[in-house]
Amino acid sequence: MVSFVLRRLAISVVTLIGISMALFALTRFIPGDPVSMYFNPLTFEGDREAAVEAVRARLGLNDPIPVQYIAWVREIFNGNMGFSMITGRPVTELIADRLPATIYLMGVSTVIAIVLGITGGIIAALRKNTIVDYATLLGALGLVSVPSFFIALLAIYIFGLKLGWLPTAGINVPNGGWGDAIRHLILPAGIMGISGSVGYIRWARSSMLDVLDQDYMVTARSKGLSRPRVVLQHGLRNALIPLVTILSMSIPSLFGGSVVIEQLFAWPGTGRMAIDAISNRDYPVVMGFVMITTILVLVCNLLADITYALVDPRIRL
Amino acid sequence: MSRARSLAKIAGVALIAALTFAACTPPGSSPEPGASPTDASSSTQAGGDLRYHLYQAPTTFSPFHATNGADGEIAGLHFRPLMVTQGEDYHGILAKEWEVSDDLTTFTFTLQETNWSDGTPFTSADVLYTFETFAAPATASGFSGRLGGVKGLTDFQEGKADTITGLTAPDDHTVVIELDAPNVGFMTGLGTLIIVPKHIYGDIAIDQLQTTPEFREPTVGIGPYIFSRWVTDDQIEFVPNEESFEDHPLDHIYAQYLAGDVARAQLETGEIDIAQIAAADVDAAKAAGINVQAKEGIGVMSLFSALDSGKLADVKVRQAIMYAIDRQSIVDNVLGGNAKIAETLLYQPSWTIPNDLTEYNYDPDKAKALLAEANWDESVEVNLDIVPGQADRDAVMEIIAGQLQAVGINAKLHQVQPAELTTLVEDRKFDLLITILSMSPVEPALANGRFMCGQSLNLAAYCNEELDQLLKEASESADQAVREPLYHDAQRIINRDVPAIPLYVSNQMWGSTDRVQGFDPTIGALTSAQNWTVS
Amino acid sequence: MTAPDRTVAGPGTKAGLDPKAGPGPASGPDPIAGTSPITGAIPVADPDSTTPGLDSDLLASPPVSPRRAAWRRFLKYRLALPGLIVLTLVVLGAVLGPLLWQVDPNAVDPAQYRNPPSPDHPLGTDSAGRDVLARLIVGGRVSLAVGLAAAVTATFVGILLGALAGYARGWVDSFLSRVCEVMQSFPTIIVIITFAAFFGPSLVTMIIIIGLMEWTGGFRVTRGLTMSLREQDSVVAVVGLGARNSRVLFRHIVPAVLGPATVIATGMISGVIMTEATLSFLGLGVPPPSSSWGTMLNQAQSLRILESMPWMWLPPGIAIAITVLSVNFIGEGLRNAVDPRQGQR
Repeated sequence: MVSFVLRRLAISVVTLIGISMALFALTRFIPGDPVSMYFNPLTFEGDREAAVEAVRARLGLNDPIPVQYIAWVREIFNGNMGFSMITGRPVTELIADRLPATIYLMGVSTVIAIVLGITGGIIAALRKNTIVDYATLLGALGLVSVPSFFIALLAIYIFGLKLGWLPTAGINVPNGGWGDAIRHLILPAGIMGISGSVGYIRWARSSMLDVLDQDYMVTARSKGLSRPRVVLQHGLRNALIPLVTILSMSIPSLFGGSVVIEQLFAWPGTGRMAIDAISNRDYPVVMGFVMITTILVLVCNLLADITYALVDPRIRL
Repeated sequence: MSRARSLAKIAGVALIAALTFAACTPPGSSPEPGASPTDASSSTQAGGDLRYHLYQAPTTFSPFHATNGADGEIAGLHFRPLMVTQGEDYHGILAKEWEVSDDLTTFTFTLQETNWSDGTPFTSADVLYTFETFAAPATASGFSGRLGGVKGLTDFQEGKADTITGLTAPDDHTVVIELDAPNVGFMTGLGTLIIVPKHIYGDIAIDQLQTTPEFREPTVGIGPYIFSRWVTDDQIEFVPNEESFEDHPLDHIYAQYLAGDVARAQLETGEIDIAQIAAADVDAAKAAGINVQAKEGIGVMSLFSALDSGKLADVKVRQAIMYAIDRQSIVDNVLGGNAKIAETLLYQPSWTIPNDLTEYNYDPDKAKALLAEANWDESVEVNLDIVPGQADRDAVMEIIAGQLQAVGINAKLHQVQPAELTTLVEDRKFDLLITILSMSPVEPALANGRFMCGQSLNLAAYCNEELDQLLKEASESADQAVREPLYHDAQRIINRDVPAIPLYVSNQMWGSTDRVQGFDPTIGALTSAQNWTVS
Repeated sequence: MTAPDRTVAGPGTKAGLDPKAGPGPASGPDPIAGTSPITGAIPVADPDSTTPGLDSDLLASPPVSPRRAAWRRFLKYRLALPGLIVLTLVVLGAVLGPLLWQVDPNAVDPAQYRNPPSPDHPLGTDSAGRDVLARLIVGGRVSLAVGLAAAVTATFVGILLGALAGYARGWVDSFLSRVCEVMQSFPTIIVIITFAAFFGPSLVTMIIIIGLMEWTGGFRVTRGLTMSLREQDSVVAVVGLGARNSRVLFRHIVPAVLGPATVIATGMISGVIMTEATLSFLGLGVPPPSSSWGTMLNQAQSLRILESMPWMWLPPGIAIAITVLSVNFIGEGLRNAVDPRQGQR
C-alpha cells in the first residue's frame, strides 16, 4: 500500500513539474506582453519606456527563461506564487479569495448530479424498456446535445427575467444571509448539476442492470425478499463501488464546466479569474491557476485510487 | 491591521450618530453652488443601500496605478481629486478655489479645510506628496505626464533634486505650481489627479506602492463614502465618511463588477440600482420602467493606423476610407441613434470647430475614385484590429470590414486580446485599430499630445508642422478670442488630413432604478455619489 | 495486477473484457471520449458504459456475414437510422446549400440591422445586416468540418500512440500510459482555452488543439486491443515467422481497432461541435467574418437578442441540437454494431 501511494505520488510530482515547465515556456513565447498592456501606450502620459523597463527589471522579465523558471520555483518553495502583473496582488491571495466559490459551486453541483443521476438511473433500470426508461435516456441524450451556456442563458431569461424567481448573477448580495446565498446558487449549480447528471444516469442504469442479473440477486428475490429491499441492500451497494472512480474522473470536466458557468453568472470563482488572466497575459496568475487545478485534480485521483483499493477487496496492493 | 479595525468600529459608531442628525446638514459644509441637485427636502430621506454596477473589474485604489476606468471610479470616491470637470465647467472638490496667472505659468489652489477619515487634517503636504509621487519614475505611474512642464521636474526625475522646485506650499492650505512655459491645459490635467494621505502612504517605499495592501484595502480616505470591505473579489462596500464635508446620506454603496450583458437584466430585477447599458438596450430598458439618461461620450470612436508603417500613409486613401463607411447608417441602426457622427478627432469643446469642415458622407463611388487616384493596390491586406467583446463595436467593425471590401480595400478583421493590442501598438503593426481615446470636454490643449509630431500619445504617428505651430500658439493663451481662429485652422487641417478615421461619438447610456434620486451622469458617475439618495 | 491502474484500464466490475485489455474503466464513464468537456457531462457514446434502452428484442439471429450482422445490430437501435438520415440531410444542406441559396453570407448592410424574417431573408438578418440563412449554411460547414476533422485527428493520434504502446510495451508503454493518465485527469478545456487564446482563434488552431488534447479515448482502446492481439496465436505466429512490424500493424491491428475507433470518433464529433460552441461563447471561436453555429448561437448572450430576436439564435441552436443528437444516436447504433454484447439486454 505504502509503495503504491509513493509511486503515485512520484508520478504526480513529475507530472506537475512537466506541466509547469511546459506552461512556463509557453507563456513566455506567445505574443502579447502584460507589462506593455499595464502601461497602456494608448493612454500613458509620461516616459513610458522607462516605466516599462523599470517594471520588467523588477519582475526579472529580462532574464533568460530558465533563470526565470528557477526563480519561480524557488519562490514556490517559499509559499509564494508571484504577483499578478495586472493587479499587483499575490497570486496565492487571489486564488485563496476565489477558490472557495468555485469549490462550493462544484461541490453542490456534483451532489445534485449524483442524486439526480443515480435516482434517474435506478428508476430507468427498474423500469427497463418502458416509457420511463426511454424518456430518461432520451432526456439525458438531449441534455448533452445543447451547449450548457445556452441552457444557462435560457434559464436566466425564464427564471430570472420573466418569472423573477431567482437572481441572475453573482454569488450573494451583501449581508444577504443563507437564504439569499441559496437563491443565488440554484441556477448555476442546478445547470451544472443537471448537465453532470447525464453520465451518472447512464452509469447507474447499466450498473443496476448488471447487478439485477447477478445470481445472488435472483437468489435473493427467489427467497422472497421484497424487491425494493433487494435493490437497496444488494444491488445498490455493489453498484456504488466504482462511484468513487467516476467522481474523481469527473473533476476535470467540472473545472471546465465551471469556467463557462462562472462567466455567465458572474460567479466570483477561479474560472473567471483564469479567463481574464489568460486574455491579459497575466502569466503568474495563469501559472498559479493551472498549478492549483492540477494539484487538486491529482490529489483527488490519488485519494480515489486509495479509496478504491480500500473499498474493493478484490484489489490487492 | 488592528488600527484599521478599530477605525472601522469608530466609523460605525459615528455612522449611527450621523443618522440621527442627518436631517440637519451642517451649514458651511455644503459643496459648491449648483453642484449638488440634492436639496434640503430630499436629503431628509437618509439611509438605505445603493448598488452600483462597474463596467470593469476593480482591482486597486491606487490613483497612481489605476489601470482601468473602474479603478479610477473607486479611487475617486474614496480619495478625491482637487477638482472635476462637469460638462464644460470646473467644479472644485478638495480645492476650494483656484487661480491662474495671466501668463499661464503659475497655478494656485486653495484647499478645503477638512480632515481625512481618521481625523488627521488634510493639508498641502498631502497634495505635494501626491504630486511628487505621481512624478517619481519609480512609481511608474501612467499619469506622470500630467506634471510635464513643472519647474524643476527634470532634475527631480533624474534624481538630481529631492523635491520639485515648481511645487510649493506657502501655507497648509495653499499649493502653488510654477511652469517653465505657459500651458493653458495644465490645470485640468493636474487638478483632476486624485490625492492620497501622506501620513499613510508617505512611509511606504515608492516601488512598493503598486503592491501595498494599503491600496487594496485602504484604511483612510477623504471622500463622502469610503472603502469598508471587499464583499467578494469584485464587489466593494463603501460606507459614509463622517469626516467628509460632502453629503453622505446613504448607509452603504456597493460597487460591483458583473461580466457580460447582465446589467440591464439586473436593473430590471432591481438587483442593481445604477448601471451603464448598451445603446441597443435602451428601448427595452425604458419599456421595463428603468430611468435612462444619456451622457455625451468623452471621445470619438475612431480607427487609428500606424501611418509610419506606410500602408495608409497616403491621405487620399484615408479620405477614401472615410467615404467608404456609411457612418450615418451605423449610428442610426447599430447604435439606435444614440450617437452622432464626428468629422474630426478633436470634437470638443464646440467653440474649436468651424462650420465649414468637410462632411465625409457615405459615397462609395468617391471612395473608389480616390483609391484609383492613389493607385491603391487591392491586394494589400488591411487589418481591422479589435479587442472583441463589446457587441455594438463588434458589429460596427464587421460592417466596416464589409464596406471597405466593397470599395476594393482588402480589409480583414483581426481580433486580438488586450495584451496583444498593446504589443501591436509598440511594434507599429496596426492598420486600422478601433478605440476611443478620451478628450477633455473643457480644454482642447490637453489633446495636443494626440496630434503633435513625435509625442508618445500620438498613436498614428501623424506629423504636420503647420498643425503643431497652431496648437502650440493656441495653448499659450487663455483668451478664447485669440484661440478660436487658431483652433479653426487646426481643425481644418485635422479634418482634411484624417490622421485617424473618426467614426462617431456615442452617448453613454445610463440606467437607474426608480428608487434612486440625484443621479445625473452628466455630473459624474460613482465619483458624484454625494448627490445620491434612495427611497 | 499489482495496482489499480485505473485510468488506463480499470479493474472491471462488469463481466466481459479482460480489465487490462478493455477499452477503458470498466463501468466508468470516460470524461474525455464522448462529449463536451464543458458541460461537465460525462460522455454518452462511451463504448463501454451502457446500453441504450430502445432496442427491439433480439431473437436468435440466423448466421450472416459479420458486416451484415453489424449492420443489423446497428439498425436494432431504433434511433440509429433516423439519426443517420438526419445527419445526412444536415451534411447535404451544408455542402449543397450555397448552390440553392445564393446569397453572400458576408454581405453587410447596416440598414438591414437585425431585421426579422422576410421574403428576402427567410431567417432574418444579424447585427451586421447579413443574411442569417446563408450564414447558417456556411456556419454548418465550419461546425461540421471542425467536428469531423478534430475527431478524426484525435482518434488517429490515439490509434497511433495506442498501437505503439501496446506493441512496444516496456517503458514506451508506461510512459505513454502515464501521459494518457495525466491528460485524462487534466481539465482539457482549460488547456484548449489557453492555447486558443495564445495562438489566436482560427479553424486550424481549433482542430489541431482539440485533436492533440483528446486522443486518450482512441489510445486506450487501441492499446488494449493491440496487447491482446499480440498474444493471439495468429499474430505470435506471424511475428515468429519474421513478419515486419508495420505489416503486423496494418494487417492485424489496424483492422481490429477500426470498429471501436469509429465509435469513439463518432462520440467525439458531437463533443467537438459543443466545444467549438463553447469556445465561441468565450470569444475564442472562428474569427469573423466566418461564421459557425457556435458563434451564431453565442449572440444569444445578449439578453435583448435572446428576448426578442429568436431568428438570430434559434436556427443555429436547433441545428446544433439535431446534429449532435443524431450523431449521438448513430454513436449508440455503432456501439451495438461493434460490440455484439451490447445488444443482449
